[in-house]
Amino acid sequence: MRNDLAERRHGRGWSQGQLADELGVSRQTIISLEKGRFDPSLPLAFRIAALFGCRIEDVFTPGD
Amino acid sequence: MVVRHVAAAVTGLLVAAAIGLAAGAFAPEEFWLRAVVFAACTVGPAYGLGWLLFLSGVTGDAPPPHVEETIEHQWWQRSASAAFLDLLVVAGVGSAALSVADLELAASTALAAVIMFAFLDVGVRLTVLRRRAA
Repeated sequence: MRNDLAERRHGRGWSQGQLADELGVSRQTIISLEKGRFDPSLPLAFRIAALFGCRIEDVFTPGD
Repeated sequence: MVVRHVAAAVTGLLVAAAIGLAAGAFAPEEFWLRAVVFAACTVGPAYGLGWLLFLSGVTGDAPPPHVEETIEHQWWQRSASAAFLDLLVVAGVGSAALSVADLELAASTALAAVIMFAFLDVGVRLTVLRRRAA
């Protein structure tokens, strides 16, 4: 699954650690999410969407 | 904090001594030998128990609030479940090999081998997953 989490994070001027704290997960989880190597659980995806004020499908798009 | 360290150490010594005494009690003719050897061999894990009881909650970084949604948790689950399947295969193949060769193996040896294999398997799988993500 692809996502634009890194762009949205940069837009807020946050570090990966800050975003991890906001979402209540580890920094490694953010790194793996941004690289597209980790698909988040539905509750985490909802928290990400809520944090950036958008829908889940605005952040995540199905991969090939 | 010093009190907690002392409590952990004392817990380790007491638990190791209790295990040593219990081991000695099962063979009174070699009581002290068994007691000392078992106590010496279990003092490390016993201190680990003390550390868990008195120090784990106050040292190191606290886990994130949603630890079950982290990639580290996923790595652990994948490693543990794969290691379990490996263990079934190894135990099955080993059991068959022992039967064919008509060999006997002490239960304590077999259980120790199973535990060591499981630890090693999970550790290697966890390390590989972590390295791949790096």
